[in-house]
Amino acid sequence: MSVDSMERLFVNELKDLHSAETQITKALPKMAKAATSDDLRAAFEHHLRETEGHVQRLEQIFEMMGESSKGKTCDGIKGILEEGEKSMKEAKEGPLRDEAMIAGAQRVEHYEMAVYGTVRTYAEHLGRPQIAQILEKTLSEEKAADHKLTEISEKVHREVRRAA
Amino acid sequence: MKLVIEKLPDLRALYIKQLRVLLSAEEQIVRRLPTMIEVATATQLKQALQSHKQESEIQITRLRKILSEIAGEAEPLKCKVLGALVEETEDMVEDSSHEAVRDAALISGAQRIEHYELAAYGAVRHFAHVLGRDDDAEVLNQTLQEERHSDHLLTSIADRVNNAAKKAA
Repeated sequence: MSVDSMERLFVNELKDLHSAETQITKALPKMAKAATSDDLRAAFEHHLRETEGHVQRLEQIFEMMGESSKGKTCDGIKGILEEGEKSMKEAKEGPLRDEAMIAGAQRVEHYEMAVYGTVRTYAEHLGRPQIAQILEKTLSEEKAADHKLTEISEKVHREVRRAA
Repeated sequence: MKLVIEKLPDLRALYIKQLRVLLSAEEQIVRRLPTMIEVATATQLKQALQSHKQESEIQITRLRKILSEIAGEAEPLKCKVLGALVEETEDMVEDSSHEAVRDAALISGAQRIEHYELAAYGAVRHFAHVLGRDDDAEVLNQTLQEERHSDHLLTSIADRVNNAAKKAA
Protein backbone atom coordinates (compact mmCIF):
# COMPACT_ATOMS: atom_id res chain seq x y z
CA MET A 1 0.00 0.00 0.00
CA SER A 2 1.36 3.39 -0.95
CA VAL A 3 1.73 5.83 1.89
CA ASP A 4 1.73 9.25 0.30
CA SER A 5 0.68 11.41 3.24
CA MET A 6 1.21 11.87 6.95
CA GLU A 7 -2.40 10.82 7.48
CA ARG A 8 -1.73 7.40 5.88
CA LEU A 9 1.50 6.98 7.83
CA PHE A 10 -0.41 7.87 11.01
CA VAL A 11 -3.12 5.28 10.33
CA ASN A 12 -0.46 2.67 9.52
CA GLU A 13 1.33 3.30 12.80
CA LEU A 14 -1.94 3.08 14.71
CA LYS A 15 -2.63 -0.30 13.10
CA ASP A 16 0.86 -1.40 14.15
CA LEU A 17 0.10 -0.34 17.72
CA HIS A 18 -3.26 -2.11 17.71
CA SER A 19 -1.55 -5.33 16.70
CA ALA A 20 1.20 -4.76 19.29
CA GLU A 21 -1.24 -4.15 22.16
CA THR A 22 -3.30 -7.19 21.20
CA GLN A 23 -0.19 -9.40 21.21
CA ILE A 24 0.79 -7.99 24.62
CA THR A 25 -2.61 -8.87 26.14
CA LYS A 26 -1.88 -12.48 25.17
CA ALA A 27 1.68 -12.51 26.57
CA LEU A 28 1.04 -10.83 29.93
CA PRO A 29 -1.00 -13.63 31.56
CA LYS A 30 1.86 -16.08 30.86
CA MET A 31 4.36 -13.64 32.33
CA ALA A 32 2.24 -13.10 35.43
CA LYS A 33 2.02 -16.86 35.91
CA ALA A 34 5.81 -17.30 35.62
CA ALA A 35 6.65 -14.48 38.06
CA THR A 36 7.97 -15.35 41.51
CA SER A 37 7.87 -11.91 43.11
CA ASP A 38 4.36 -10.91 44.24
CA ASP A 39 5.07 -7.31 43.23
CA LEU A 40 6.05 -8.35 39.75
CA ARG A 41 3.01 -10.58 39.30
CA ALA A 42 0.76 -7.75 40.50
CA ALA A 43 2.48 -5.31 38.12
CA PHE A 44 1.90 -7.63 35.14
CA GLU A 45 -1.73 -8.17 36.12
CA HIS A 46 -2.25 -4.44 36.53
CA HIS A 47 -0.60 -3.75 33.20
CA LEU A 48 -2.82 -6.34 31.53
CA ARG A 49 -5.90 -4.37 32.57
CA GLU A 50 -4.26 -1.16 31.39
CA THR A 51 -3.34 -2.75 28.06
CA GLU A 52 -6.94 -3.83 27.51
CA GLY A 53 -7.85 -0.18 28.03
CA HIS A 54 -5.20 0.86 25.49
CA VAL A 55 -6.74 -1.43 22.88
CA GLN A 56 -10.14 0.18 23.53
CA ARG A 57 -8.67 3.67 23.18
CA LEU A 58 -7.10 2.76 19.86
CA GLU A 59 -10.43 1.37 18.67
CA GLN A 60 -12.08 4.61 19.70
CA ILE A 61 -9.52 6.54 17.60
CA PHE A 62 -10.12 4.29 14.57
CA GLU A 63 -13.83 4.98 14.92
CA MET A 64 -13.22 8.74 15.12
CA MET A 65 -11.17 8.52 11.93
CA GLY A 66 -13.52 6.15 10.10
CA GLU A 67 -10.72 3.64 9.65
CA SER A 68 -10.38 -0.08 10.33
CA SER A 69 -8.03 -1.31 13.05
CA LYS A 70 -7.21 -4.45 11.08
CA GLY A 71 -4.62 -5.20 8.44
CA LYS A 72 -1.23 -5.16 10.13
CA THR A 73 0.90 -7.45 12.25
CA CYS A 74 3.46 -5.71 14.41
CA ASP A 75 6.63 -7.70 13.74
CA GLY A 76 8.66 -5.53 16.13
CA ILE A 77 6.63 -6.55 19.16
CA LYS A 78 6.40 -10.10 17.89
CA GLY A 79 10.22 -10.27 17.91
CA ILE A 80 10.51 -8.66 21.34
CA LEU A 81 7.92 -11.03 22.85
CA GLU A 82 9.59 -14.08 21.33
CA GLU A 83 12.97 -13.00 22.70
CA GLY A 84 11.37 -12.45 26.11
CA GLU A 85 9.66 -15.82 26.11
CA LYS A 86 12.92 -17.54 25.24
CA SER A 87 14.85 -16.00 28.12
CA MET A 88 11.88 -16.64 30.43
CA LYS A 89 12.24 -20.35 29.63
CA GLU A 90 16.03 -20.36 29.90
CA ALA A 91 16.38 -18.56 33.20
CA LYS A 92 16.19 -20.54 36.41
CA GLU A 93 12.87 -20.11 38.20
CA GLY A 94 12.91 -17.52 40.98
CA PRO A 95 14.51 -14.08 41.21
CA LEU A 96 16.70 -14.73 38.14
CA ARG A 97 13.69 -15.48 35.94
CA ASP A 98 12.05 -12.37 37.34
CA GLU A 99 15.09 -10.33 36.30
CA ALA A 100 14.97 -11.79 32.79
CA MET A 101 11.25 -11.04 32.51
CA ILE A 102 11.69 -7.47 33.72
CA ALA A 103 14.42 -6.91 31.12
CA GLY A 104 12.06 -8.27 28.44
CA ALA A 105 9.05 -6.29 29.66
CA GLN A 106 11.06 -3.07 29.63
CA ARG A 107 11.95 -3.66 25.98
CA VAL A 108 8.21 -3.96 25.31
CA GLU A 109 7.52 -0.74 27.21
CA HIS A 110 10.23 1.12 25.33
CA TYR A 111 8.91 -0.04 21.99
CA GLU A 112 5.51 1.29 22.93
CA MET A 113 6.93 4.55 24.27
CA ALA A 114 8.70 5.14 20.94
CA VAL A 115 5.58 4.48 18.87
CA TYR A 116 3.08 6.31 21.11
CA GLY A 117 5.49 9.28 21.19
CA THR A 118 5.57 9.23 17.39
CA VAL A 119 1.81 8.94 16.82
CA ARG A 120 1.02 11.58 19.42
CA THR A 121 3.29 14.02 17.55
CA TYR A 122 1.66 13.04 14.24
CA ALA A 123 -1.80 13.69 15.72
CA GLU A 124 -0.71 17.16 16.83
CA HIS A 125 0.74 17.95 13.41
CA LEU A 126 -2.39 16.69 11.70
CA GLY A 127 -4.56 19.00 13.79
CA ARG A 128 -6.22 16.22 15.83
CA PRO A 129 -5.70 17.49 19.39
CA GLN A 130 -8.40 15.22 20.82
CA ILE A 131 -6.68 12.13 19.46
CA ALA A 132 -3.29 13.46 20.61
CA GLN A 133 -4.71 13.73 24.12
CA ILE A 134 -5.93 10.13 24.15
CA LEU A 135 -2.54 8.91 22.92
CA GLU A 136 -0.74 11.02 25.51
CA LYS A 137 -2.74 9.32 28.26
CA THR A 138 -1.58 5.90 27.11
CA LEU A 139 2.01 7.14 26.68
CA SER A 140 2.05 8.32 30.32
CA GLU A 141 0.78 4.92 31.46
CA GLU A 142 3.50 3.12 29.50
CA LYS A 143 6.14 5.38 31.04
CA ALA A 144 4.73 4.74 34.52
CA ALA A 145 4.75 0.98 33.87
CA ASP A 146 8.43 1.22 32.84
CA HIS A 147 9.31 3.09 36.04
CA LYS A 148 7.38 0.61 38.14
CA LEU A 149 9.40 -2.23 36.60
CA THR A 150 12.66 -0.45 37.44
CA GLU A 151 11.50 -0.12 41.05
CA ILE A 152 10.60 -3.80 41.24
CA SER A 153 13.92 -4.80 39.68
CA GLU A 154 15.72 -3.05 42.55
CA LYS A 155 13.89 -5.31 44.98
CA VAL A 156 14.42 -8.43 42.90
CA HIS A 157 18.13 -7.58 42.66
CA ARG A 158 18.47 -7.82 46.38
CA GLU A 159 16.88 -11.27 46.25
CA VAL A 160 19.21 -12.37 43.46
CA ARG A 161 22.15 -11.29 45.58
CA ARG A 162 20.85 -13.20 48.56
CA ALA A 163 20.30 -16.30 46.42
CA ALA A 164 23.79 -16.08 44.88
CA MET B 1 17.26 -33.70 16.79
CA LYS B 2 16.24 -32.57 20.19
CA LEU B 3 16.60 -28.89 20.78
CA VAL B 4 18.53 -28.17 23.95
CA ILE B 5 17.76 -24.85 25.54
CA GLU B 6 20.85 -23.20 26.93
CA LYS B 7 20.11 -22.67 30.59
CA LEU B 8 20.91 -19.51 32.43
CA PRO B 9 21.95 -20.57 35.92
CA ASP B 10 22.81 -17.16 37.34
CA LEU B 11 22.85 -13.43 36.78
CA ARG B 12 26.36 -13.49 35.39
CA ALA B 13 25.19 -15.83 32.61
CA LEU B 14 22.18 -13.61 31.90
CA TYR B 15 24.45 -10.55 31.84
CA ILE B 16 26.89 -12.13 29.37
CA LYS B 17 24.07 -13.34 27.18
CA GLN B 18 22.45 -9.93 26.98
CA LEU B 19 25.79 -8.27 26.23
CA ARG B 20 26.31 -10.71 23.36
CA VAL B 21 22.83 -9.97 22.01
CA LEU B 22 23.57 -6.23 22.23
CA LEU B 23 26.84 -6.74 20.37
CA SER B 24 24.90 -8.42 17.58
CA ALA B 25 22.33 -5.60 17.63
CA GLU B 26 25.02 -2.92 17.29
CA GLU B 27 26.75 -4.83 14.50
CA GLN B 28 23.46 -5.07 12.61
CA ILE B 29 22.89 -1.34 13.11
CA VAL B 30 26.29 -0.51 11.62
CA ARG B 31 25.53 -2.81 8.66
CA ARG B 32 22.01 -1.51 7.99
CA LEU B 33 22.44 2.21 8.66
CA PRO B 34 24.13 3.08 5.33
CA THR B 35 20.93 2.17 3.42
CA MET B 36 18.87 4.33 5.76
CA ILE B 37 21.33 7.22 5.37
CA GLU B 38 21.07 6.88 1.61
CA VAL B 39 17.28 7.11 1.45
CA ALA B 40 17.03 10.00 3.94
CA THR B 41 16.27 13.36 2.33
CA ALA B 42 16.62 15.96 5.10
CA THR B 43 20.28 16.89 5.58
CA GLN B 44 19.96 16.96 9.36
CA LEU B 45 18.51 13.46 9.36
CA LYS B 46 21.31 12.17 7.15
CA GLN B 47 23.86 13.72 9.52
CA ALA B 48 22.16 12.37 12.64
CA LEU B 49 22.11 8.83 11.21
CA GLN B 50 25.72 9.18 10.05
CA SER B 51 26.95 10.21 13.48
CA HIS B 52 24.88 7.43 15.03
CA LYS B 53 26.77 4.97 12.86
CA GLN B 54 30.09 6.31 14.14
CA GLU B 55 28.84 6.14 17.72
CA SER B 56 27.68 2.56 17.22
CA GLU B 57 31.17 1.61 16.09
CA ILE B 58 32.61 2.96 19.35
CA GLN B 59 29.86 1.22 21.32
CA ILE B 60 30.82 -2.07 19.67
CA THR B 61 34.42 -1.60 20.85
CA ARG B 62 33.17 -1.00 24.40
CA LEU B 63 30.99 -4.13 24.36
CA ARG B 64 33.84 -6.24 23.00
CA LYS B 65 36.13 -5.04 25.77
CA ILE B 66 33.60 -5.78 28.52
CA LEU B 67 32.81 -9.20 27.07
CA SER B 68 36.47 -10.16 26.64
CA GLU B 69 37.12 -9.32 30.27
CA ILE B 70 34.20 -11.23 31.76
CA ALA B 71 33.82 -14.11 29.29
CA GLY B 72 37.25 -14.36 27.70
CA GLU B 73 35.75 -13.79 24.25
CA ALA B 74 33.40 -11.42 22.47
CA GLU B 75 31.08 -13.49 20.31
CA PRO B 76 27.83 -11.86 19.16
CA LEU B 77 24.58 -13.79 19.71
CA LYS B 78 22.09 -13.00 16.97
CA CYS B 79 19.63 -10.31 17.99
CA LYS B 80 16.45 -11.22 16.11
CA VAL B 81 14.58 -8.21 17.45
CA LEU B 82 16.90 -5.74 15.74
CA GLY B 83 16.39 -7.60 12.47
CA ALA B 84 12.61 -7.31 12.92
CA LEU B 85 12.82 -3.61 13.77
CA VAL B 86 14.99 -2.85 10.75
CA GLU B 87 12.65 -4.80 8.46
CA GLU B 88 9.67 -2.98 9.89
CA THR B 89 11.42 0.33 9.17
CA GLU B 90 12.37 -0.71 5.65
CA ASP B 91 8.75 -1.71 4.94
CA MET B 92 7.48 1.66 6.14
CA VAL B 93 10.11 3.47 4.10
CA GLU B 94 9.40 1.45 0.95
CA ASP B 95 5.69 2.17 1.22
CA SER B 96 6.29 5.91 1.50
CA SER B 97 5.95 7.51 -1.89
CA HIS B 98 6.77 11.03 -0.77
CA GLU B 99 10.18 12.27 0.44
CA ALA B 100 9.06 13.99 3.64
CA VAL B 101 6.75 11.10 4.57
CA ARG B 102 9.66 8.75 3.99
CA ASP B 103 11.86 10.80 6.32
CA ALA B 104 9.11 10.70 8.95
CA ALA B 105 8.89 6.91 8.57
CA LEU B 106 12.68 6.63 8.86
CA ILE B 107 12.70 8.65 12.07
CA SER B 108 9.86 6.59 13.48
CA GLY B 109 11.79 3.38 12.79
CA ALA B 110 15.06 4.79 14.09
CA GLN B 111 13.37 5.78 17.35
CA ARG B 112 12.03 2.25 17.81
CA ILE B 113 15.61 1.04 17.46
CA GLU B 114 16.88 3.69 19.91
CA HIS B 115 14.27 2.68 22.45
CA TYR B 116 15.17 -0.98 22.11
CA GLU B 117 18.75 -0.03 22.86
CA LEU B 118 17.72 2.21 25.75
CA ALA B 119 15.87 -0.68 27.38
CA ALA B 120 18.64 -3.19 26.68
CA TYR B 121 21.48 -0.97 27.91
CA GLY B 122 19.40 -0.01 30.95
CA ALA B 123 19.09 -3.71 31.80
CA VAL B 124 22.77 -4.61 31.41
CA ARG B 125 23.87 -1.49 33.32
CA HIS B 126 21.61 -2.68 36.14
CA PHE B 127 23.02 -6.19 35.99
CA ALA B 128 26.58 -4.78 36.09
CA HIS B 129 25.71 -2.87 39.28
CA VAL B 130 24.24 -5.93 40.98
CA LEU B 131 27.28 -8.00 40.01
CA GLY B 132 29.55 -5.35 41.51
CA ARG B 133 31.12 -4.59 38.13
CA ASP B 134 31.13 -0.84 38.56
CA ASP B 135 33.58 -0.12 35.72
CA ASP B 136 31.31 -1.97 33.28
CA ALA B 137 28.31 -0.09 34.64
CA GLU B 138 30.04 3.22 34.03
CA VAL B 139 30.96 2.37 30.42
CA LEU B 140 27.45 1.05 29.72
CA ASN B 141 26.00 4.19 31.24
CA GLN B 142 28.08 6.28 28.84
CA THR B 143 26.53 4.41 25.90
CA LEU B 144 23.09 4.73 27.43
CA GLN B 145 23.48 8.51 27.61
CA GLU B 146 24.56 8.61 23.96
CA GLU B 147 21.50 6.62 22.92
CA ARG B 148 19.28 8.94 24.90
CA HIS B 149 20.85 11.93 23.20
CA SER B 150 20.31 10.35 19.75
CA ASP B 151 16.67 9.75 20.58
CA HIS B 152 16.15 13.39 21.62
CA LEU B 153 17.94 14.61 18.51
CA LEU B 154 15.61 12.51 16.34
CA THR B 155 12.60 13.97 18.14
CA SER B 156 13.72 17.51 17.34
CA ILE B 157 14.40 16.62 13.70
CA ALA B 158 10.99 14.91 13.50
CA ASP B 159 9.32 18.16 14.38
CA ARG B 160 10.74 19.86 11.30
CA VAL B 161 10.26 16.88 9.01
CA ASN B 162 6.64 16.47 10.07
CA ASN B 163 5.95 20.08 9.19
CA ALA B 164 7.44 19.53 5.76
CA ALA B 165 5.41 16.34 5.32
CA LYS B 166 2.23 18.12 6.33
CA LYS B 167 2.82 20.78 3.67
CA ALA B 168 3.36 18.06 1.11
CA ALA B 169 0.08 16.35 1.91
